[in-house]
Amino acid sequence: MPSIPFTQLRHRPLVDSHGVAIGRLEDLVVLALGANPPVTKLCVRRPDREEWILPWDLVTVVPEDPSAPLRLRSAAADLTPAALRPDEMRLAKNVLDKKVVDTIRKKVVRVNDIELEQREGRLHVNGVEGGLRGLLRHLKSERVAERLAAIVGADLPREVVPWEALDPLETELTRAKRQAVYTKLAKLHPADIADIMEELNPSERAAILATLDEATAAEAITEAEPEIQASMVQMMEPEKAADILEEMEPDEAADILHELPEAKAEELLETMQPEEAHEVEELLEHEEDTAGGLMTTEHVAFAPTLTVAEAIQRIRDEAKEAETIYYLYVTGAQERLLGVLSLRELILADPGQRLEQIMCTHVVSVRPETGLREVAELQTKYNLLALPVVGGECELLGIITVDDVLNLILPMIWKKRAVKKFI
Amino acid sequence: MPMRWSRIRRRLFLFLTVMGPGIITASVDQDAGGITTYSVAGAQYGYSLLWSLPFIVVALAVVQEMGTRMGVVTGRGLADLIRERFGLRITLLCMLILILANVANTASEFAGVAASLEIFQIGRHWSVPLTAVLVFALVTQGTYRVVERVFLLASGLYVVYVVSAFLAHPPWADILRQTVRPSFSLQGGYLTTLITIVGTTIAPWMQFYLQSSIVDKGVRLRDLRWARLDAYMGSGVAGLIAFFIIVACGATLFPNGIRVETAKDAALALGPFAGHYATILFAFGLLNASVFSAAILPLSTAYAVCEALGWETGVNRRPGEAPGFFLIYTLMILLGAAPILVPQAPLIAIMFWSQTLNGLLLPLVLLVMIKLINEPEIMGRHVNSVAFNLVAWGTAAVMVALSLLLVLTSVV
Repeated sequence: MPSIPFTQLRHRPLVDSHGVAIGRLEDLVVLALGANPPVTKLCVRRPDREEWILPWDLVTVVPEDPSAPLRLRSAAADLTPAALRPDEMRLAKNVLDKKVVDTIRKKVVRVNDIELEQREGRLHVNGVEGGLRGLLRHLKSERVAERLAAIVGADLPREVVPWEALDPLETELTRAKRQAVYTKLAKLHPADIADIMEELNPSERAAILATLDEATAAEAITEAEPEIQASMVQMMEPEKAADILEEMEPDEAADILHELPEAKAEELLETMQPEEAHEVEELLEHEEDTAGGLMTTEHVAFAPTLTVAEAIQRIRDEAKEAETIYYLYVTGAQERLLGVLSLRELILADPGQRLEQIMCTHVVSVRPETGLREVAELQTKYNLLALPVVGGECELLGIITVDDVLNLILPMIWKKRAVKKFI
Repeated sequence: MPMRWSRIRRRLFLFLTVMGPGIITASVDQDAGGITTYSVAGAQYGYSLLWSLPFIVVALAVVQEMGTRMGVVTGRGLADLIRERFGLRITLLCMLILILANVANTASEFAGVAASLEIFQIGRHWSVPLTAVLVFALVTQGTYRVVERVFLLASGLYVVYVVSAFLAHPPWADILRQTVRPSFSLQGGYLTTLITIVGTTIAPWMQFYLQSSIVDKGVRLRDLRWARLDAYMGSGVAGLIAFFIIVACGATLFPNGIRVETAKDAALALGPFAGHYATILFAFGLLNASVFSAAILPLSTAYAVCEALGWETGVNRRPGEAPGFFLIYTLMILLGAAPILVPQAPLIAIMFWSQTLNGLLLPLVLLVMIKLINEPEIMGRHVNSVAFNLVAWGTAAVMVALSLLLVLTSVV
């Protein structure tokens, strides 16, 4: 049985069993299943512009002559319009003229025509046709072009891509399913989203992340297991990944970039906004399980001459980005750490007092190379929510918050317990 | 106020990263055809066409914003959207219009090259083929991106028109009055010039070019407002340049009854600023604008057509890999350069009439754009507002009316 091009079927007149004209064939509906999706319905444009959807079974036979009308089995009066099912798609509306992906030749193809074939009394889709020949047929000038080509001695090859080689096309059903799942997912807590994503394959993870807003995506990635974090960031479009990294705390972003291949990390840093990228770059220079690697640069530091009232105002104005505001650091020239005070001390103090009058000058601090264990011990010993990290000149480099330390310490403790249980 | 400053800085930064397509499109817009049209308009009709500029700028801003929004929201070029929504036949019609208008535009750019270099005694049989080869090499060798900056900088030359306009001490009160008070004439020449001014300022190719640049730049939805600002600023700049060219020509050429028939005549408008150097300055400006646009027009046409038909594109491929693309691109340059090589071809007339063709074809492109941008299936919640639809429909309707009037008056 020879193949039938869709553009030759389209716009053909339809007549009923008595030969009465019903309208023109507007579109075909296929059940989007398998390598050769069957045609299940047809759409008829009535003379009054109304559209009827009818079952394909009503068509007796497709005549060879491209101008002959399609004949239906029943009389016009007996026709009952059908509705589209969600797992069906329309060829003219959803496939023709669209771009599809040929997964075998790894090429984007503009669909100029669709190849159909009649087998066992049913019409099936074989594949889509790109290329010049399909284009000319679509314009109903294939014959002329063939003759022209014959004169020049060139051949007009057909470029048919089999249906099964196409990247799956979306139907109402798959879209609805995906949408429903994603909308439900987006409402969950980022930690739960992270748990679910850990169970999925990389491309599914990327698809979910693409639907989340940047802030939620950033939190969800932060909550995921470290080894998955890197793969998630790698699967994403660089722009999207950079946007998400910008949303994260710089220390979290640095941890993730640390896990990535250097070229990839560089690319992302390039794509990020310079301000955020710069903060992350500074953190990247430190080892992961040292104070330098643990710290974040988003802390609140004020000049010693600031009054209490001014300091409170400044916190309101600019401390939205800071990781913690429970401790306020007082720094002098060259960022030198002079003292610290807690939010509680600040609020209880007289508004006119200057920070240097009320700050505590004995500051417990660590150097960037201090190890994780010592950081944890200091924080426990002095009951600190955050610990400042200082450089050789006593300049404030960043702070380590207790939650970042817990994240690293807890898994170690659990592992030890688990081992004990089994012994 | 440290916070305020940092916020301003961040916003400025955001704008600078998104900025570009609108401003560049506006600069390319002031090409050989543009300069010629405004010069002819100023020389022939003085300030009496200035009233159309405010309307044109509003229309341009609306149309450019529509293209920008479609590009940002859909991430697709205009040709792509037309093919998917309207099918093959309408797409081919649009592409034919685009090719037709752009062959004419490219011819006008080569006419600009010929006219400006004839001032330096370089014949067109040398200048035109050399420019054609240069343009082809620039783009296919991938050096275009680098050179684009140079062109863009050189288009700052338009500032000389502003200076010249002021130095000519035109009657500003009169100019202002004529800018805000519309006047009209049913005379064929006046109508043609009006259509041509609209056509050169809101050219059909710009819509394809702008939307593709937005898509190439990958402007994100959250930066839409900055991209919009870019489109508006570009439109404003284009309007200002047009205004000052017309004023400069209206102040220097119109009172002396000089008709612009050669580039030397048009150059006289820069006399108040540059004196004896006016011709040289003008020649440089015209040459820069012409080569800049001669590089862009064939390229953007080839991209649009291939995108619509699903052919391989890209200057970084070998001709054998993207035959359709290179064929269209080469043909555009050849067809654009050929008519200029005809001895005694009237250069100014070619530059002017190509822009009239733009004006006549504009409504068709506008109609397609209006249709697309009002489809919720394509634009989601970013469909056109009522005000934008009014301006867009209004522009299309006025252009159709003007074209019909022109036909009527030339027949009667």
